[in-house]
Amino acid sequence: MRINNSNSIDSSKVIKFYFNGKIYTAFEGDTIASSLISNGIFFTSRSIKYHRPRGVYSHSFEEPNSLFEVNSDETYEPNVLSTRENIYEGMKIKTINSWPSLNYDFFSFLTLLSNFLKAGFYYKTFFGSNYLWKNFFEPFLRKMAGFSKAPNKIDKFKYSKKHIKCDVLIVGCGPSGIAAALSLYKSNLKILMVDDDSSPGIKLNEPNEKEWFINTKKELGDKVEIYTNTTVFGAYADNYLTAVERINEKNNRNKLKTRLLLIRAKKVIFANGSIERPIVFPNNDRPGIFLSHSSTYYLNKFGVLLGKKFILFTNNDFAYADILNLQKNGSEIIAVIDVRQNLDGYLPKLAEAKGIKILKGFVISNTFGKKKIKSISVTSLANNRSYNLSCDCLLVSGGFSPSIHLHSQQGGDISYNHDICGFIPDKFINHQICIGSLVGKNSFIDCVESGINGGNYILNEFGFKGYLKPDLSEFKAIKYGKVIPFWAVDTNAKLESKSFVDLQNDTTIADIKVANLEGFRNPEHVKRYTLNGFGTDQGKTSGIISLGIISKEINQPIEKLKPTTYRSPFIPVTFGVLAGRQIRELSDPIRRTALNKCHEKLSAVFENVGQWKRPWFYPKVNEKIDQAIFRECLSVRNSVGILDASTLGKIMISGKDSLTLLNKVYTNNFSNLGIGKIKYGLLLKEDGMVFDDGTTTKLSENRYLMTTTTSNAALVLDWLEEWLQTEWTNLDVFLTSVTDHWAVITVSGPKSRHVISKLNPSISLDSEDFPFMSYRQVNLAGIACRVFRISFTGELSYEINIPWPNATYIWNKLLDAGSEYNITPYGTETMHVLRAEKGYPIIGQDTDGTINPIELGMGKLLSNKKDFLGKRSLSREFKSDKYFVGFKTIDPNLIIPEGAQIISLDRVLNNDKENLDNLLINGSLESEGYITSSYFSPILDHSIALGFLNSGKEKINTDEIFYATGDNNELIRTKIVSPVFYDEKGLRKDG
Amino acid sequence: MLFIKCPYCGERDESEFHYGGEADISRPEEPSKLKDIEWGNYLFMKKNTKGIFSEIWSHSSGCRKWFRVDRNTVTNDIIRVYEINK
Ligand SMILES: [Zn+2]
Repeated sequence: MRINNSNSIDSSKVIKFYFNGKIYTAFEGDTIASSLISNGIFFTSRSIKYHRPRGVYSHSFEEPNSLFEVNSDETYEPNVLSTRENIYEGMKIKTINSWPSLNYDFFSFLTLLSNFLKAGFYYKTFFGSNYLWKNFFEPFLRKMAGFSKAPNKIDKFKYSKKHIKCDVLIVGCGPSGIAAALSLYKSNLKILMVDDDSSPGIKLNEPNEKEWFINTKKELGDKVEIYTNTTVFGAYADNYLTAVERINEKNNRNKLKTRLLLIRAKKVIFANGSIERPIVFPNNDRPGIFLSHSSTYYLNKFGVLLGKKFILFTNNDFAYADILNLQKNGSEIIAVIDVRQNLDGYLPKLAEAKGIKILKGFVISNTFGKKKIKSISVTSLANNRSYNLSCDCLLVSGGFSPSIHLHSQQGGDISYNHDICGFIPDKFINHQICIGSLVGKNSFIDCVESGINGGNYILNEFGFKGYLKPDLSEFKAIKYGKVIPFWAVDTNAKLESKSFVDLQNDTTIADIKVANLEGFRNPEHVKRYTLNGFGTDQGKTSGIISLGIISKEINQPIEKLKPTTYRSPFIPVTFGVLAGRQIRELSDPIRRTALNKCHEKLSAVFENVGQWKRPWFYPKVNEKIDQAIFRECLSVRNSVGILDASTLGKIMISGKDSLTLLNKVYTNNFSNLGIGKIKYGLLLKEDGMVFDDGTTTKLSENRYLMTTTTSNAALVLDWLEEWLQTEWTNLDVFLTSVTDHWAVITVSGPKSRHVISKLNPSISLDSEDFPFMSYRQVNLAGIACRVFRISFTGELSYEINIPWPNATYIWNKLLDAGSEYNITPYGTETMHVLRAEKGYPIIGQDTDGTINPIELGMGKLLSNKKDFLGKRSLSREFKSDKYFVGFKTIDPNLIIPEGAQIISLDRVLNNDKENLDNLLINGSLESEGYITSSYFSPILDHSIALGFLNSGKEKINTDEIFYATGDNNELIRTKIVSPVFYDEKGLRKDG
Repeated sequence: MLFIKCPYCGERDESEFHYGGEADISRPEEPSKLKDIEWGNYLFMKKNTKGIFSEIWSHSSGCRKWFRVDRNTVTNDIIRVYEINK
C-alpha cells in the first residue's frame, strides 16, 4: 500500500508491468519488490524444496525469496533479485519454481513430507542406483526444484567496463562513510564513494540526523565522486576492488545495463555496514513476514507500507525505531514481542510511552495464514503460557551482522563481538580500515564519530596534519539496551522442521540438528550437508544463525566457531557484467595474414589456429571437404601447390653470441652452419621433453632467423628471453619477433621450380646453385624476398618470405605464373596430410609435453659434443620404450580415429572382444600405444596413421597385427610401419 | 590482483606480468657431472617459502624485462623490486 510519494520515485511517470501475466502499475524508481508490495502482492514465489508460499522478505541483496524470471524485448533474465532490480515499462515478471501456477502448485504436497526430506535425504536416497538416478530421480528433481531456466535468447543489453584509480575508496555512503569523506574531502585527494543503494541514508528517521546527512553530502559536492546503485562484489590483493554499477533505466537510451568498475585504490575505507538477521521460529517463512528494517526502507524510499497491523519480534532496541516510524505514519502497532525481560533502553521506553504494547520475555511460537500471515502465537518464556495475536505484517529483528564479506574475502581476520552478537573485522588489512556498523557501531552518533576518526586516520596516512573535529553535540547519545544472543525459538521436533534458518534452501533447525547428530559439526560441513548458506544470497541472513544453532547443539561457544569462508562475488554477478564488451568478435583478438582477402576470394574455409585465421581448405563449387583435400593433396604431389605459411613463428637472432645461444638451446650442433644454410633443430625443456621444433637459417655472420611452430611462436620467444635475461646475462644476443614482418608463401610440388623462375628468369634455381636446406636473397617480380629451400611436404619446395605489404602482389604473380601447371592453393588440412605421408611430427599434435626426442625417433639430433637444455634429463634410465611409428591398416579404407588405443593381438584373442570397454576400464587389457594423427592418403590410396607404440622400434615392418580401438567398440586391424609412408628415400625434395 | 612496480616502467596491474617462480635457481655449470637426485633437485625442488620470498617476474605485456621481487607470500606485500643482476 502506497501512502505517500517519496523523492526516490517519480510519481508523474506511471509504469505498466506484468506479473505472472497480469498487468499492474508502478512508478519510475520503484524496484520489482516495491512495485509488487504497493500492488498488495505479498505471495510472490514458492520455496525451492517444499514449494511453500513465500514473499519478499527484505529490501536489499540479502533477499532469499523473491527471485524472478524477467522477460522484455531486450532479454530474458533468470533469477532476478526483486529488491535490487528497477521496474521498467513492459517488464514481464514471472515466478519461478511453481508449476502449473503460483497459486496451484503441483509440488506443494512436499511440505507434508518435510519430516522425511531432512538433510542428507538426497545423498542417502539417490546414492546407489545409477539407473534410477539417471532415468527417474534426476528428471523429476530438476522439474520440481531449482531456479530459472538458463537463457536461450541473445541478451540485447549492453555491458561496459571502467577502470578507476583513486587515493581513497569509501565503500558505503551511509552516515559513517559520509563522515569519513567529510574528514578527507578538503585534502585534494581523489576520493571515490560507492553505495549499493540508489538512495544511501534513506533509512535515517530522526529529522536532525537526516538534515546532517543531506547537508554533509551537499558540502562534499563534487569534491567526491559518488557511485550509487553500485555494489562492490570483490576485494583482492593490493586494494583492487571490483564493483558492478546498475545503470538506471531512466535516461538509458543505449540499453546499457551495467558497468563493471575495476578500482585500484591507495587506501580503502570499508563502511559497508551490517545486515539485519532474523530470529528463527516455527512457520517463520509466510508471506508478510519481513526483516524489521525493511519496513523503514520501503516507507522512506517508496512511500510503501508493508501492512496495516504490525507486530515486531526482536531481541534488540534498534528495531524499535522502525516500529516508531510506522506508528508516526499512522500504522497500527499490535505489539512488540521482545525476548528480553528487562528493557532499559531509551527506544523501548519511548515506544511504551507512545502506547505500544510490549510483551517482555515472550517469543513467537507459531504463525498462521496460508498465503499471507494472519496471526501468531506468542509464548511467555517465564511460564510457557501462550495466546494468539492477529496481524497482517510481522517484522523480525535478531540484531545486525556486520557485512564482513569484503574484508574476509582477502583473508582478513574476524572475531566474535559480544556487544552486537556478531563477527567483526579483527585486524585491518594493510592500507584498509573498517568503520561504522561494520565494526559494531550501531547508533547514528557512533557511526558518524567512527567515520570522522577513520577519515582522520587516513588523512594522517597521506601525511596531512589538520584533523577535523566537527561539533556533534546536537545529537544526543541515547542509551541502547543490550542485544542478547537469541538465534531461534526452542520448540518441539515437529515444529523444528518448519522453522526455517535458510529460506532460500529450505534448511530448517531440524536439518542442522540432523547434520550435527550425524557428525557434521564444523560449520563448513554443516553448510554442505544442509545447503545452509548456499544459493544466490549466500546465507547473508542465515549464516550466523546456523552458527548459533550449531553452537548450542554441540555445546561450544559461538566465538570458537568460524563462519564459512566468504568468497567473491558478494552478490550474484552475471556473465554479461564480467564480459562487458569483450564478446563475440571482441572476445579475443583475431589475427589475419596479409593474404586474408586472397583466401576469401578463393572461398577458403578458415580454421582458428591460436588467434590466427588460417585457410583450412579451398572448396570448389559443390565440392565436399574430403573431395577438396583429395584434390589439393594430389595437385601438390603431381604438379604444384601454394600455401600461406605466414603464421609460422619467426625470430630474428642477432649479436655476437647468437651462435652460442643456438648451441645452448638446440639439441644439435649449429657451429658448422655456413652463411645461407639452414638447419632443422629441436628445442627441449630442461625436463628433456620436446618443446618445439623449426628451422634456423644463418642469414649472415651473427644474424640468424629462427622459425617456430605457429602455436608456440610467443612461448619460444618468451622462453629464450627468460634464459637470456635470467641465466645467460653475459651473452650479447638480441631477439626480435618478425612473424608479422614477413609473409610466407610456400610453393611446393614438382613444378614449383618452373613457377618461381617465371618471376625472375635470371636466377638459377637448380639444386646445385640453390641446394636443399639453403637460403637466397632473391628479387621476385621486383620485390626483394628471402627464399628458403625447405620442405614440409617432401616435394621440391620454396618458402618465400615477402615483406608483409607486398604479399598479395607476389601471391597473385605466383598464381598467374602457375596457371599453366594448375597451381592449387592448399590449406592446413592438406598440409597435415602431406606431412603425415612423410612422417613429420607436428609438435603439439603428435607430442604432448611428455615425449622425449628419442621416443620421437629423433635421437640422432642429440649432440654428444656439447651440453644443451634438457640433455641431462635424457641421461636418466627410462622405463618407457615407446616409439613414434606409422600404422597401416589392413583394410585400406578404414581410418583409425585419432586418440585410439592400440591393443596387441594376443591379448585381444585371449580376452573377450565383446567386452572391450570393460576390459580397458578394469585394466585387464593394457593399452600398448595410441594414435596421434590419422588421415586418408590420396597419393597412396590408403589410410595412414601416426602414433606411439611400446617397443615400437622393433615392431616396424614385422607381420604382427595390432588392434586399434575404433568407434563403437569395433577393432581396426593394423600393421606397424615406418612413419615415412611416402618417398622413404627422400628423392622428391629436389624435384 | 597485485600491483607491481616494474623497475623499468612503474606501477602496473599484475595482469601485465608473468610469474617466474623462485629467484636464484642457477643452472648447474656442468649438468653431466650431477647425480640424478641433484639434477632432480635443480629441476623440481622449490623452497615454497612462507614469508618473505625472492622471486622473478617478467613484465610480459610491457617492457618484457625480467626482474626480481621480494614478496611476503603470506600478506602479498611487495617489499622490494629490483633489476635481475642486483
Ligand atoms: Zn616494464
